[in-house]
Amino acid sequence: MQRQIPMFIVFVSGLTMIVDYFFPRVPYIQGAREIFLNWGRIALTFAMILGIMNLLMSNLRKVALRKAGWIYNVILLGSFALTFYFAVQYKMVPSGNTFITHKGTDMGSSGTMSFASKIFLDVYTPLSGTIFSLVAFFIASAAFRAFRAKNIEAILLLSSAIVVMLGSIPFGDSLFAWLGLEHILGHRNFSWLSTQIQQIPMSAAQRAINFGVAFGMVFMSIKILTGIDRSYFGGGGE
Amino acid sequence: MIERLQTLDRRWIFLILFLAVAGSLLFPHTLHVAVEPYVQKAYDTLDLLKPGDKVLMAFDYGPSVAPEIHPAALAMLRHSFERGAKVVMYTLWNEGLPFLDASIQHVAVPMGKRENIDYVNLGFKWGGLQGSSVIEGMGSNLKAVFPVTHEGVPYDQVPILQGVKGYRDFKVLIAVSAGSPGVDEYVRYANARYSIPIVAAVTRVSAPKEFPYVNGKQIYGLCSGLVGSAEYEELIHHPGLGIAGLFALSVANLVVIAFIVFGNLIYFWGRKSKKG
Amino acid sequence: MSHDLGVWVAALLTLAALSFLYKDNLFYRIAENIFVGVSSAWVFATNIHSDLIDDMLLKAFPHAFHQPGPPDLKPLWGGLIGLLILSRLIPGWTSLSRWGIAFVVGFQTGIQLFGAIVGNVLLQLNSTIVPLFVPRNLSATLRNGLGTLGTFTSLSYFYFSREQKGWFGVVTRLGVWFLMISFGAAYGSTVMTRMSILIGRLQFLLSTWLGVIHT
Repeated sequence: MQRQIPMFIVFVSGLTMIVDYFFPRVPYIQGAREIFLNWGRIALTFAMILGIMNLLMSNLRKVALRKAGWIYNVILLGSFALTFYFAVQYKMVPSGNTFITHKGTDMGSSGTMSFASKIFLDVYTPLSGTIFSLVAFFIASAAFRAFRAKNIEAILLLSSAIVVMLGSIPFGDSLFAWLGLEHILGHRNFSWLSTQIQQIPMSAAQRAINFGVAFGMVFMSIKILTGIDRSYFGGGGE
Repeated sequence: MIERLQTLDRRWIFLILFLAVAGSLLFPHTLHVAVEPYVQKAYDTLDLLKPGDKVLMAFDYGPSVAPEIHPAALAMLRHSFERGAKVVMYTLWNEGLPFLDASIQHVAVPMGKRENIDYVNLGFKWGGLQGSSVIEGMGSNLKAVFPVTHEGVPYDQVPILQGVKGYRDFKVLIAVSAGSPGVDEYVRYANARYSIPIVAAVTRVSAPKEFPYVNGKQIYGLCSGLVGSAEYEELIHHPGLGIAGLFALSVANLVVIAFIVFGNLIYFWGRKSKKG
Repeated sequence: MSHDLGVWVAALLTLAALSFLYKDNLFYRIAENIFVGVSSAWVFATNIHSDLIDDMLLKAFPHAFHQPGPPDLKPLWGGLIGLLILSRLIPGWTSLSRWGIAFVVGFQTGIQLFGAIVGNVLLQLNSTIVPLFVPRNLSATLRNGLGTLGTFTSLSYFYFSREQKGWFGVVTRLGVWFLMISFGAAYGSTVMTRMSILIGRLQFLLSTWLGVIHT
């Protein structure tokens, strides 16, 4: 029974979603689908709570045991508690508050903001943006140290990277015109070449990858619905 | 000399990049913006909107990529309002709400648009990592997914939402998206089933995934990255942060290209001298 | 230079995160842990509002939230399913949590199955199976031909049931070339995204914080 009941639940909830594709105007089926979607959204939130609780408990454990670097866990827990307290209280964006005061994303602060908004603007935004932007530096480093035109595949990769980077910026066209190379492309801009690469070979290869992903999703879905794949049980389905 | 260059401390590379980008911001130049066909298609689709048409707009991104696509969101929202469309806005990203709010403050309010009449903010709704439960649910019953607006006004009391049941009541879906849930899921669940036309603004890094959908006409137009944002700003004649960042981006691209070229020159030079 | 405390906090946190480029250090680790704490709390708080309050409690008890309409108790079953998932935290109750997880997995799988078939397979096949010869239009002929060739050769590279030798090896090699062009273009796109984010941060430092440029 420990295995049969979850498998039955998977089958019924999955089937309700599928049947709706074939009988979209049948009120009972549509009603059941809407209820299931509503329950699903609520249940997913509890799943997220489970994840957050795991994060908090693992950090609390490290603090309690005074493990190496426990002070960082205290910082994490403190910033969590502070943000949660204010964010849950103020519902994030009280009416009329401006998050971004200075024409776009440069995050100037407004005097009317709630404390939760200030945390988002002055703490979360700079950290999120900067941590993601660090990759820019490592990409530049990789460009210098790792990208070598050793064989035909590497040459194709490097050339298309350079064409796309150069073709996407206005400098590409100016440089091409300055070098007097426009006749090579039948008097077209360099950006035309970049667009062609993205529209034809890149799109074709990406479509192949998308097909692979889609077939994977379809077969995995069928395996889950029919109970062949039970990895969601944890521990191999037992 | 070659060995020193081959084993160059990467922090020098970091410094060069930092100085190049900072320098280009300190000494900016205005560049001519050429519009890509995909961006033109996005513009043309929104330009066909008529006064009173309803548009659904998703702000599915956060602060990490905002410099890239937030300008496009502002430009597309402005364009929709200029065409007289009514815009229903929401986000499936926890971090999207502040940007949705900012777009209202920077575009809707200065243009004199009225809340709940010309636009409405439905707020944030979480539907899991793929957002499928929300995107599917919005197709047949928008009210069930968003029973109240972000300000707490019941769905039935919002004038702009009168008679709106789902995707079929909208002319177009503008998906400003930085990942999942985002434009992929809209293509899979909203366009495939309800045939709602999609116009997307995505990060440059996720653009390659979307090109097959544009070619397959599952996405009507695509505005990708800071360059796409700048191009859209150019099309609506309203320069913003997209155009402001274009020179710096151009310099950054040139620096990376220079690194690739110099890296290879040093590599082949080193190999030649070893053989010699 | 800004006189706003919030801008200074944002600027110092930006510099703390950037300091990782020199080497891993105390300031970066503090910034990193603040980031994890703040982001998880933000996600938690927003989800509670959007799904637990708006989707469940507000529908079940509208009058408690000053909303019109009759109570609808059906969403509370969603809460019960959620509680089943949380029962994983109680030793010995793991099997109950599987029921909740099974519901979530089942309904998501059901949605995903047809979304993938229609959106990613059928409609994409439409744009792959196109005329390979378009009379009096060399550009369209080339475009369609290369597009179809690229898709099929790239797909063939992922076919591992046959050794990639002989004529099939030639086909898969061609597929690899298409993939390499695609990956190169994707690398170029990645560079542009990351640089744009960096530009955003530097615009903040130079404009909002230091006030030396005006954007």
